[in-house]
Order: sequence, then structure tokens, then C-alpha cells
Amino acid sequence: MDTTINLRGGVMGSAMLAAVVWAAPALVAGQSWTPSRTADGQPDIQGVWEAGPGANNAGHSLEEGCCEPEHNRMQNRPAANIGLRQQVIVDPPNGRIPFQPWAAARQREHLVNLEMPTEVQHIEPEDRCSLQGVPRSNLRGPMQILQTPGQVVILYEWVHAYRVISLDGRPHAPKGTSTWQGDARGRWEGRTLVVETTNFRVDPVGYNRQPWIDSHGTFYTDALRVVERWTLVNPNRIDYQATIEDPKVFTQPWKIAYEIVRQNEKNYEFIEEACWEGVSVKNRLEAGRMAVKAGKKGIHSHQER
Amino acid sequence: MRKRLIVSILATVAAVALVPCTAAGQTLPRTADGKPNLSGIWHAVNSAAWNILPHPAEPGVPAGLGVVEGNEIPYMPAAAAKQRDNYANRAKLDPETRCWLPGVPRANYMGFPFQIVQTPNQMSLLYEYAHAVRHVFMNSAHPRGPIEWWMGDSRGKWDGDTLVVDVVHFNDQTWFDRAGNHHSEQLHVVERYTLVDPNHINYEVTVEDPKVFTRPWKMSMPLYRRLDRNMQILDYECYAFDEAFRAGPAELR
Repeated sequence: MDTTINLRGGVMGSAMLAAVVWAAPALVAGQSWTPSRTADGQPDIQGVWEAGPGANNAGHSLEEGCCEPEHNRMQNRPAANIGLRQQVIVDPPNGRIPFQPWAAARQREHLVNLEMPTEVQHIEPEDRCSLQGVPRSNLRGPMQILQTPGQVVILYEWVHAYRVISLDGRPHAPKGTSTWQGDARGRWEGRTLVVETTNFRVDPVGYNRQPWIDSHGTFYTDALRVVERWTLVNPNRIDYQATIEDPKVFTQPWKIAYEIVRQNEKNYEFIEEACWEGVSVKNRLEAGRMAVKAGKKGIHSHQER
Repeated sequence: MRKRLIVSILATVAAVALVPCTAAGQTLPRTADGKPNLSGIWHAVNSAAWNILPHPAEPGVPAGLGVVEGNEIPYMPAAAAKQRDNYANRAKLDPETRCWLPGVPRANYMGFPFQIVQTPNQMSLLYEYAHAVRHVFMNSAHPRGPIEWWMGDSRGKWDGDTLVVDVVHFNDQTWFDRAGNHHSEQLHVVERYTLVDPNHINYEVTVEDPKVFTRPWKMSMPLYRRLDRNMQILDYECYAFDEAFRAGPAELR
């Protein structure tokens, strides 16, 4: 039953529940399904996937659905959908990112700069075509997983990003080789792909030339470590969890969880997402500069003003 | 004399031993479906990034023998003039200075490694430079144009043990090198990737563009497998290094 509720999300009448059970017995039977294997014996996780509706727009704010119902309202979601399922942060249980006080102040500064950007660096990294890092890359549109012996490769349509996850037991790349997507090492635990990623890029100048964990200015330092668990539940669903730890920014490790669903469109092919080549920030900078000049105060918010 | 004879015998034996193996493909690594396995990290080692034609050294630019067959690009007169103008103003006009996607085949010899991920239906090429990617879909047709993509649309098939990739649907914004060699949106590239031994690919390119060249022309070079211990692709996020500067043109848009 849990499986079904998670699969569909939200509040569901028993008639609908019955319909789902009838339509997808394999999904409910879950445990009896065994993933096929790749040539080198990995559980086959290949295909085109996308974060499920429960995580819709969580890349914008991971706290969405928990503490900011305005977000949901602005996306025209029915009130019934603003429920527990929408809480992407599952630990701490209150659904909030456990910032240390200094980090909360810094995040707030990001939200102010977002509202009235006067420099390119004030505009959030995604809008500047930055690689999104981890786990945020997994929340931005379709991703295709390929497997070859000893590795899992995740391709993202958004900004033609990719991650190569080595499974061959090699050590992490040495300190000093930080990258925007981080340095990923994986292993299979049964049907769960466990990926540990470290060595993320940190802006040497100290301001915002690095990925954010969400659009609301959630940032990290060189101490970031992300452990992801991709569990194949059935042919069309991955249960995804990521534990995010950065003892310099957060008071505790925190965890997000949501489901990823297979995109079954036939012959789906990524098209080129050339972002930087067409980016324009002119209007936003002009508006931000005018607002600051006029002495306006503001912060990025979804509340009605 | 005796030593020379032995060397010569050894060389003959080596040649005899090597030729039939590689010719029959018996020593080549192969995938589960029997194709030569191109998976891995590759790197062109030459100075084609600066100029695909023969050129002498300049400060910061290594000399090069060139990679173009016949050492000449058959430009139409107006296109030849445009190349000269591009060269004269390359510091400003080269799309590389804006960190735009480099196009094909330039992405393969920019001086950065790239990784081939080979599956039966799709080969993905992951470039360290600007995290450019190409997804080569096997045994399928190009979508109908007109489409203008920076990296084109790549379709692959096996010709014996050679991977042949047909690439069309380019824009006219990319160059072949830093010397201003250029093309139009009618560029048609056919690449041939032949694994000649486990660590070398013979990479051959045929270039066609009826708006720019009087005839098709070819380039070729070896691609070398990166054998560095624990080799992996890192990143070169070109535009992020100096965003305000790189965003100059973007701010104007």
C-alpha cells in the first residue's frame, strides 16, 4: 500500500487506489520484480528518467511543500496536494535546511541579491547556465543513464551536463581537483546504486561562482559530501535519497528523498541545450540596478506583496 | 652486423605478428555485441587546435605539420577572404574566446581529453572542454531540418570495424581552429573512428560545405588513449572563469 501511495503522491481516494492496483500489479508486488543485468552484472538502470511529480520544482526550493505553501499555490496546485508527500527534505523532520546561523545570514543575502541583482554573480547559478552539481542536477529535467563495464554515466539534457560514476573501486581523485559536478564513486548494494560525491568546486573568490544546492541560495563549502542512494523499485521507478553533509554550513547532515520515474516516450533523444550561447542577463541586471539606485529594499519571496 | 641482423629479424617477426592480428581485429578489445570497444578516454596530441594547416611556431603556439590531406583547404574565393579576416581578428572573433560550444570536429582536438561511452544503440562523447557532449545515435536517420545546433546531429553506423558518424545540422558560428578556418550552416562532416590497436584510434574526417568549399576535403590524426593511472575527465568550465568578461556579449543581448 505504501508503495502505491508514494507512487501517486498526495491524497487519493480508495477507488483510484484500486484502479492503480489493478493497472499495475507488478508495481505493488514490487519485491518479486528482479531487475535485469547488464553484461558486466550490474542491475540495469539504463533509460531516460526524471524526478517524479512529488519533487516538481524542488530544485527551486528544497523546502518547498514543507514550509512554503505559497510556492505550491503559485504553481496552481490544489490544496490537497500540499501534503507530506511534497516534503522533499525528510531529515530533519521539520523539512527545513539546518543552516548554521552565519550560513542562514549568507543565504538570506543571496535571496536579497536575487531580488535586486547588480552584478552577474548575484543571478543564481542556474540562470547563468552553471552546471548544477549534486544533487541538484537530478532535479532539473530528463536524465539518461548509460552503463558500461565499471561505470554508470548520467547524461542530463539541461546544459548538456553529465556525470561519470566509477564503480571500479578506484580512490577519489586527489584534493585540489575540485569540479562543478564533484568526484563520484559508486557501488551496487543489491539493487541500490550508492554514490559518494566529494571534491566539489568552491568559488576561490568567495562569491557565488559555484553551484547552489537550490535556487534559494543554499550553498556549500569545500567540506560538502553527498551520498546518494538510487534504489530500483520496479521497472519504472527509482527511489532516490541523498544525504548532504557540510559541517561548515549545516548543523547536521540532512536528507532529501523523492521518487524518480521512467520516461517511456519511444526513441527519446536529447536535443542540444546550448545555454550559455544564448543567455541574457541584461534586463535583470538593469532592473536590479535601477531598484538599488531608487533605494528599494527587497528579498526574493513568493509571498504576495 | 650480427646485431643488426637480429634486430631486422625481430622487426620482421613483429611485423608479421602484428599485421594479421590487427587486420583480423583479433587483438582489439570488443564489446559484448562484438564491436570494437572505443570506450575510454582519448586525446589528440598535435597542434591542430591552433591551425589545422601546416604552420610555424609563434609565441605560445607550437609549430605543426598540419592534419589536412594535401595541406590545403579548397575555399571559394570569398570564403578564403573571410578566413584571412578571421585570422587577422582572431583574438576577437574566435568563438572559443566566448567559450561557446566548439563544434565538430574541433571538439576532438582542442587539447582536452574526451571520453567515449559506447552502448549498442548510442555512443556518447563527453568532452572535458565546456562539458560539451555529443550523443551519436546508431543506425537511425537525421531528424528533418533545418536545425542549427552547435555540435550538429550525429548518426552512427559500423562499416566493418570502423565507426562512421555522419554529422549535419550545424550553425555557422563555429570554427575548425584558432586560425579562422570556417564553414557555413551547410557543413556536413563524416567521421571515421578506427581502433587500430587497444590504445590508438585512427580518426579521419571528411568535410563538405557547398557554400564554402569547392570540393570535399579530409583531415586525419591519431587519437591516443590516456593511460594515466586512474585517468578521469575533470572539467574546464570555460565561461565561469571570468564570467563578467565572458558575459559581456551576453549582457548586450
